[in-house]
Amino acid sequence: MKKKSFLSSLVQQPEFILIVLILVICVYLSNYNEGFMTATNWKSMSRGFTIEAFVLIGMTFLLITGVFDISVASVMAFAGYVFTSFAKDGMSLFLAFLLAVLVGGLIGLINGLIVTKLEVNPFITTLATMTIVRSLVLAISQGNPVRMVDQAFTSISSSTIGGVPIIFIVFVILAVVIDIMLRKVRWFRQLYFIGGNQVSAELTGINVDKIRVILYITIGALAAVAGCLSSSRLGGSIPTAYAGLEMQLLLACVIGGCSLNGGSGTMLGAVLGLAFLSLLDNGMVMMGIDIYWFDGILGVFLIAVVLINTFSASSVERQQRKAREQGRHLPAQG
Amino acid sequence: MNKKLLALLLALMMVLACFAACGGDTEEPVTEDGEGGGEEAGPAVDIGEIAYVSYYTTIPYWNDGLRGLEAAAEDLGLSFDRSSNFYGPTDGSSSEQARIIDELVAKGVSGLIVSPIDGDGILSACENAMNNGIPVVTVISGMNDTSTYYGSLGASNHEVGVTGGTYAAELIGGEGQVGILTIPGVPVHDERSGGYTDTFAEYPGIEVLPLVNTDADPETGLQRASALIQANPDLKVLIGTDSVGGAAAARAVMEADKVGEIFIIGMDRDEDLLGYIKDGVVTASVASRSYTTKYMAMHYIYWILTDAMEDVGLGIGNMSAGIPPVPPVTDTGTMLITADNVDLFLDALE
Repeated sequence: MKKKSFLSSLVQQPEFILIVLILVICVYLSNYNEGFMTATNWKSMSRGFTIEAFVLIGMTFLLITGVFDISVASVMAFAGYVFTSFAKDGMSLFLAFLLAVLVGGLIGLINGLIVTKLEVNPFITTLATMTIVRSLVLAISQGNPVRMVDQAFTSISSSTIGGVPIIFIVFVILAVVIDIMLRKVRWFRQLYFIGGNQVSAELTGINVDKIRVILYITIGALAAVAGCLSSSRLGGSIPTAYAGLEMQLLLACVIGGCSLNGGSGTMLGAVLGLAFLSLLDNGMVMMGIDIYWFDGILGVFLIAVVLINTFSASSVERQQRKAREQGRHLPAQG
Repeated sequence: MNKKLLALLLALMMVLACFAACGGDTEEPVTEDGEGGGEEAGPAVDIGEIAYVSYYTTIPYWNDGLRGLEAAAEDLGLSFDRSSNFYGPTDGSSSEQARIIDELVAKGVSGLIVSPIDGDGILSACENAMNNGIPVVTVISGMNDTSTYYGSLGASNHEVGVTGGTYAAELIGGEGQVGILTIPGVPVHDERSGGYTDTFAEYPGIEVLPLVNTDADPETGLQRASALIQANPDLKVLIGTDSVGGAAAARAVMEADKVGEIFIIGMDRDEDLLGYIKDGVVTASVASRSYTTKYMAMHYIYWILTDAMEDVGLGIGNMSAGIPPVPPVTDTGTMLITADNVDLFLDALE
């Protein structure tokens, strides 16, 4: 009886559904096209995935607390420009990287302060930052890419251990640690409390503003890391790059079980959501799907996954309600 | 109270910073007698603001064209500066482009050089400009109603595809798989893709794979180009209908370790793409004469506004005779950039 309950709850987890979907896609694509299972394809996918996934960590944190940041793509472009330009001018790669991350963190701090201290809506705040930061990088660069094909620079994203990109390994370790912390560590657990009921969280003494500012700084810094990694992969900075990435990340989080209203979601779910989207994109090219159907197919899958998640959650709620009702009808003990 | 004060101060600082950043150098307007103009300027005439409205202002593609406009303005003794007279939507929508044109008409600009996003979207805005005595000249592509502008300059985008396609077909001896990286739904790119596919259709040995969308993003382009290469091990040529697609193809080919096995034909001439031609990764780029096109467009507007052309008779300007002084269509052609001449173009960027 206990075993059935465990299986039942496992099936109803958004992560489980995503794992099944990912496996189905992988099996189907590997049968459809031999190129899918090649090491080169997986290496390429994992590099692209990892760059986006670093920002995903920050987005998941924010969504759990009920806010979000749509300026991340602009921050990536700006940080990538800072990193590449200074490295090209002779600054050590480490210092240039550090400077770019500081710039990203600073933009995050500005976002956080405006959202918390001035109580401006996160959408409006980060929309404004998105346009300001993008304008800034375009104005400084005049829209021109900065090319940097130095071996040390490009090897940051291309180095591998046993054929697996190092940046991917680093990300996996980081994601696992964060997922565990979100489940077990008190400081991270309070993020769910804030997202679930901000007023109650404040009444219990949680400094919601401080935590949100920290999370905005975190996502700014992570977006900067992603911008630097991407610049390394692209062989330079492209100031116009990454437009629309924020939507992809929000989609991944929602598919993975995060709620736009806050209070739910896991790192594993968000990562699986992004992996699902990456695989879908790769698969559509592999299958030679008509170019005009890409977004339509993505939309259908998105609705399907979200509906499955919603029905699963409803099912769990129904069972819990039923259990509570049965509990009330039980004769009093003693 | 403190919060309100902080918000007010922050808003004030941001607005002031914006003005300080965007103000730039203030130049004295060029006057009838030439005072205030550049020392080496040509015949100085104050004809007011000439505005250039492009699409996607945020891509480096425009830089060559803007240089052409600035050079022509200097030669003609006009004032044109990319920081003050260059407009366009950031989202590539024709409705936004039409709104910008309407605002410029209301502002009272003297002439408009426009790169229409599509053939119909800004017809009424340009018609409104012409009705208000503001001449319109289009660059890169024209519009579907020739009464809404005086002249159109640029390379035929279909011909761009034909030029690149013929070159690519000869490279592979008329046989093999070809992939095209493009941005669907954007008429300029659709015409270029059409030029390529029409050309390849004449070679029975060439198989054109389904088009791939780069979304005009280098990372997305790279991911999808990589997938295309892995899905088609016999791929012989990758085409990019812009510099983003060409550079994305180059990176994908490098990551797949297939440099030299897959030919790449790009489009345009920014530092990113030219660098890959120099490195021998990209085979060639079909570039429009963007500098020349815009240089000529500024002259066209100048001739219209000053009635400087006298085809009809001595002392009778064409405009006063009711005859537009510029040709309705001017094909400015393309250039093929390869490893043999890429240094010239790279030097020009510096």
